[in-house]
Amino acid sequence: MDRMLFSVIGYFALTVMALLCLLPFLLVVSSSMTNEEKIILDGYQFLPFDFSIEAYKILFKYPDQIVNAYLVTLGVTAVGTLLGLFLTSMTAYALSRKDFKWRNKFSFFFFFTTLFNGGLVPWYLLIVNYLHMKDTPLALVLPMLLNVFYIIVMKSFLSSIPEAIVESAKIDGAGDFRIYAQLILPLSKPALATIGLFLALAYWNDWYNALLFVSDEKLMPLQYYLYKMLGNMDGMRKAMMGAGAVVTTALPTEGLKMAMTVVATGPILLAYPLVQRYFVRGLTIGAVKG
Amino acid sequence: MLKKSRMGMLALALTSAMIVGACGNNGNNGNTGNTGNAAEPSAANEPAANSAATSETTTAGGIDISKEVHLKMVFVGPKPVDYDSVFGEINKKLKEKINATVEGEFLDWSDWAQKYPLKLAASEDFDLIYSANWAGYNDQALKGGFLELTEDLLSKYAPETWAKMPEVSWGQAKVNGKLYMVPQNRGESVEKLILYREDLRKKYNLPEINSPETYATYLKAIAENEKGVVPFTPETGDWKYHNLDRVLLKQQQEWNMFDLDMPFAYKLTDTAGKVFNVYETPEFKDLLVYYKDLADHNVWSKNVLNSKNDHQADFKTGKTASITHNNGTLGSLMALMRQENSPFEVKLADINQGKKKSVAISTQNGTSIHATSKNIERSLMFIDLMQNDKEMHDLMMYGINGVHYTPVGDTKYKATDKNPNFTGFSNWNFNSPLNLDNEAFPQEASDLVKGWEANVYHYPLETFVFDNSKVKSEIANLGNVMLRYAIPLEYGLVKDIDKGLAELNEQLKAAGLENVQAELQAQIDAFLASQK
Repeated sequence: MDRMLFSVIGYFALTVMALLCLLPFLLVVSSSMTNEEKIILDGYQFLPFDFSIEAYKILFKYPDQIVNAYLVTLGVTAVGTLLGLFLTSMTAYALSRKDFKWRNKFSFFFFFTTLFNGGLVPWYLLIVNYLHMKDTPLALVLPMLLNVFYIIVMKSFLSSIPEAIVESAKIDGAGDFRIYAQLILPLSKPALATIGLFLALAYWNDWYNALLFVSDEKLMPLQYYLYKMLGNMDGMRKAMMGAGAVVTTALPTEGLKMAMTVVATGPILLAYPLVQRYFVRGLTIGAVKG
Repeated sequence: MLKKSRMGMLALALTSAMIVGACGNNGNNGNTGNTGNAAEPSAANEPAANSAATSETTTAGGIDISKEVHLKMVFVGPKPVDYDSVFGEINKKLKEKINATVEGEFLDWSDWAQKYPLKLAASEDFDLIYSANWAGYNDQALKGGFLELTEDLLSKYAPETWAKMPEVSWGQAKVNGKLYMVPQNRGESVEKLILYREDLRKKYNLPEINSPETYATYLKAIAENEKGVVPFTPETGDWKYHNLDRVLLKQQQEWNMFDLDMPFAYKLTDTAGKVFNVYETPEFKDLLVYYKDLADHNVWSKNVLNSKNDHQADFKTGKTASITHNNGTLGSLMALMRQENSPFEVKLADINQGKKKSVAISTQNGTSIHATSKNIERSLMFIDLMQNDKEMHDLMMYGINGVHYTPVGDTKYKATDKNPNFTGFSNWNFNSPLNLDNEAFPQEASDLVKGWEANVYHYPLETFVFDNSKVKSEIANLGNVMLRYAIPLEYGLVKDIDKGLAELNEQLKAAGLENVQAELQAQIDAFLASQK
């Protein structure tokens, strides 16, 4: 009986919590479908009282562009995540091996680079004038490929894998790469899923590299495309100051922001359920286990 | 085991270092040394005369243009939808006239502020660039990104511009006595006006709005009677003064206030150009009393300082009953509201009638030539055409006749429904007397400006530009003090005005007010001495 009561209360509380978590999404979706004037007068609404799909119309005014932006983002995210995972895990594995003589020196070297940076202009010059990566997909993938923080997380996870596994594989005659690919990688799925999600999110949400290095419309990732759209609307209004130009249409900026959020976050939400079960485990790995 | 916990500690330390370190990772795009050092342009930049066989083309000025060149120009704003068709047309004509073609590169409004300095720092390949005081013209000129335009160059390659541009405009565009920009050739008035709801004024039988007092009467009446309407909403942005100060302080007192960026001003009529601290004047204190009174009557919302509302949108929907902005913007808003058959009757008010009005400084919009450009002559010829050749000017400013606009008489145009496909980017640097007015623009707004233009006051310090390089950090400090102590005071959030003022001035002194003032005065004195 007590157990029954506990379950009822527990489930009820959790359901309420879950619904509360959904509310912001509801607000965003319904606001994206509300008439602009209504938003300005009464703020965002949980239900679209004054229904209007104007914001989506503007968003998809040039459907080929937005589809193209989606494809760029998907491509960059896929390539960047896979390549990034491969490089991060290899680096971390090498650093986690106790018989690697200079591992501390290397670790320090990696870490040290995170403390300083050259600043924006030198970085820009390096990518544009020396590496000649302006307007190439490389400029979108390379800068975020290897993150020292992820290497450290990965390394601390790999350190928890018993040395004995590596030793026994060695005795059986496996080479270093084979040990890494066939033993270590399968064992570190939780960490890979965690880091993979981090990387995928970072690539999915990245617009800054695109801002700096991409001026070709065909290479614009989704986030930058949306950012540009919104920025141009705000900027246009501000910049028309004194130009005597008459802005001929009212632009639904508030609703548009929400519509963009829906379009930009929708797909990446699907990544969560896939890796969720590793996620909790992955982050707590490295803590002392009983 | 010990080893492991040490690792954990290290990981932890690293993690926190990462997080702390990450904060300093972005948004710091200032104070970088310049890379491209401006090569002094030699006048002997003659294109090699290897054109024996080709047609010997020279322009009226006797300049050899036999070699075809391709110019690149950087604009601010998004690439217009009909870029290809309009620029195709421009290039056809440009080829005939000066044997050149032009290609535009566009920096979107969303990120031009980051990209613009980078383009110059990286010395990328372009010939012309839109420049403006609000786009860091002074800084970029001092860093050597722009080519110095000498009298020889201008009079030879841009003769019409050289002849038609008012002397004042050239003077204002000089940085340390050197010119790096061909400014727009059109005096814009930047004085701010007030836009209000005439229907509400009539509803409550209020007196006509033509002075600060009548304006206050209107505001208070709205606050009292129109529930749900905010009487006044300021423009958002990092204002260091009250949003109404341009109207109630600068115009009212006939001061020049240095773009409202510093706590200094001088009187327009003062030939000695004596600089004083705005916050120590009795006029400012009177204004504080005026503001406090308005605030006590709930004329602006309580959270006015952290509101992010777009005041124009608020006005359009009837959420607020008055806003302030410049004539062009308010006129556009009125035109838009009339187009949408807005139920409100709106009107412009000038509450400083008969006061001296000054024109915008010419560097509001301009064109600069990249220091490393190889096509200096042709670039100047291009600017000359764009400002003074009607055909070219109209193409660049309004698009294709019959597609994007139709001319109405000689001075106006009517925007077609395709008009938005060629607008929204910075072509204003080619503003000139050839400009057409949009016929949808409210007549009363145009009339007001015409009245002002007759009243424009020219004064000795009009072309003075303050070089703040020596006192940059103090100015930043002063700005912070103004934001922190002056703004709450001006919006009536400080109970005791005298105490607030005393504290503000104390803080300003601590932030280095006297240093900046001395520097400013010294530069003004030197400037005036050189004028004599």
